[in-house]
Amino acid sequence: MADLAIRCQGLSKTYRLGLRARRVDALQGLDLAVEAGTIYGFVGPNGAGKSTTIKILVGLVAPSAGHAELFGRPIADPRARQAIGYLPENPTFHDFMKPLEVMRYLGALSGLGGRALDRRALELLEQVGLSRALDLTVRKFSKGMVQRLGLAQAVLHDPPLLILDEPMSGLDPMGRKEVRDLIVAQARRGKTIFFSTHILNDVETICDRVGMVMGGRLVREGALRSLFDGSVRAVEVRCSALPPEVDSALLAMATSGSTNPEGHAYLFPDHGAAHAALARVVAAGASVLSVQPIRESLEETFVRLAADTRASDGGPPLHD
Amino acid sequence: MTSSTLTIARVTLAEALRDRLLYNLVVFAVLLVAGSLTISQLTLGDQFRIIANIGTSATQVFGLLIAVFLGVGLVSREMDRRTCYPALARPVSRAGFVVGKYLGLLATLGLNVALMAAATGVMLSLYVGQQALSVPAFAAAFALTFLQLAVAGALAVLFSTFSTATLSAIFALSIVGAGWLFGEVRAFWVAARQVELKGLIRVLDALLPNMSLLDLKESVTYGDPVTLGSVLARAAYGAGYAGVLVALAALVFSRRDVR
Repeated sequence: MADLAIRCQGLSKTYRLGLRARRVDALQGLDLAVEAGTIYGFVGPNGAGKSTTIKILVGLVAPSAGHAELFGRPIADPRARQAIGYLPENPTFHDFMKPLEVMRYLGALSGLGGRALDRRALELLEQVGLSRALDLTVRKFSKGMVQRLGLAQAVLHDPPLLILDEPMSGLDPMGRKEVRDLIVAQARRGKTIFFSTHILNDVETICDRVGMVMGGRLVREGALRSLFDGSVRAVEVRCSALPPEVDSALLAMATSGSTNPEGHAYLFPDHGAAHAALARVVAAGASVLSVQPIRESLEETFVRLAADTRASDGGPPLHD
Repeated sequence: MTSSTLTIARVTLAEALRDRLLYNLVVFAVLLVAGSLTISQLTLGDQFRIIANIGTSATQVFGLLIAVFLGVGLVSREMDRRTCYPALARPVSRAGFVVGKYLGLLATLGLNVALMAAATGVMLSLYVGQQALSVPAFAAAFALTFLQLAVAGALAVLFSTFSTATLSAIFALSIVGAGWLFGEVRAFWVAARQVELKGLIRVLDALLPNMSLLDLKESVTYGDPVTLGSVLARAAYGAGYAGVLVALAALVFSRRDVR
């Protein structure tokens, strides 16, 4: 079994809110295993439990039940946090400080110090594009600059595990690409990246594995490819030079069909129907231009599961 | 004490020294002490006592306000602004964080008391002909005032670990006020032979901070003798009381979710 960077078993969190101590189950028996050296995308709608999970892992929130470990060390042990670099959602720092002061403060809390800390901090500030802002206090930083500083402080002590809460949140397309590049660069150096997001394009682009959390439960988890296995919604077949009688036969078998300048396009409900149609096309001597399985995208999977979860919880549907 | 705790203390001091509230109160207090020179002219012959009284009282009152209003923000402001997130996600214990914040507050209060003591000392030096200034008594009075502020600050920190900044300030100021007044109330109850209240008096005596015990204003003002043993015993009481409060604050904060 590969080394696990994160292991959660039956992790639950119940908050008591308001004067009447209204019970809110933010997490319900979450099991999670993140292998070392992977990029793990933790996705889910707002209020699904992503940030609660992350806050439990970094020691900000105590679980109501269950157990979690970082590299085999229980999260209750402050030493477990030496192994993590954490970027909070919408990070904030002491606004009277300059970026190097922030890095010195947080570096010292990770046991760094002296010239080595300054050297590392300056190197990272350069990497995240803040070397021209060394004389500015954080108060004068834009949101993107604060996010970059947040990333720099997260990797300051070169931790083997990065836990990033919505790292692309609020960034422009360039900023998002830079963060993605930074995540990939860290992964290439053997780091484990665990990040939450609801920007699914980012997940599809860089993640090895994905966990979907809905209503405080992990509803789907696995390698990115495996999430789509068995989720072929349809098979598209394109062909040309098709006799009219074969076209009629294929239309009867297909869920939809259309004519375009290249020829014909049909959508079949599954591989079996597509194979039968292809046999008719070949027998008629027509040309097969392409056969394309249409899989459910991560976004479609996400929306469907969110709607299912809402329906099973008795909540309003996500979409009409 | 770990280096993380000292790092947090240093940053807390740096933050406090940038706080306008601190400067407003300190400047006002120093002006008041300086103004005591004028006020003392209204009375013939007692200038020394008036200046000594105003100097020590101003240090106490403004120091208490600084201790409470900075103290209530130490933890709650870090949580409200979420500046504590990247710090607490590092190998720092919650207790170490609270102690570090408190030590930073103590350093701020220490600087404040030293500044006020210096201002009062300069004013008094102009009138040393009227009454001999007992330097040990003067130093002991300001040292115990520092401990008064330490107790008030610890109360503020304790309340801020589980309540809002506004409520924490109200709670802390109420308890400090009750601690000041309780000496008088106890004397009245005891003199009135209220036997049925003795239990309550004992409980309040143990729970409320005895601020009068940490007050040596009279010794500076009237030159009453002060023994080293008495000062050390009072200091031990103040330090112990503040220590228990900070330990409680650390315990409460260790169990609190930061969200």
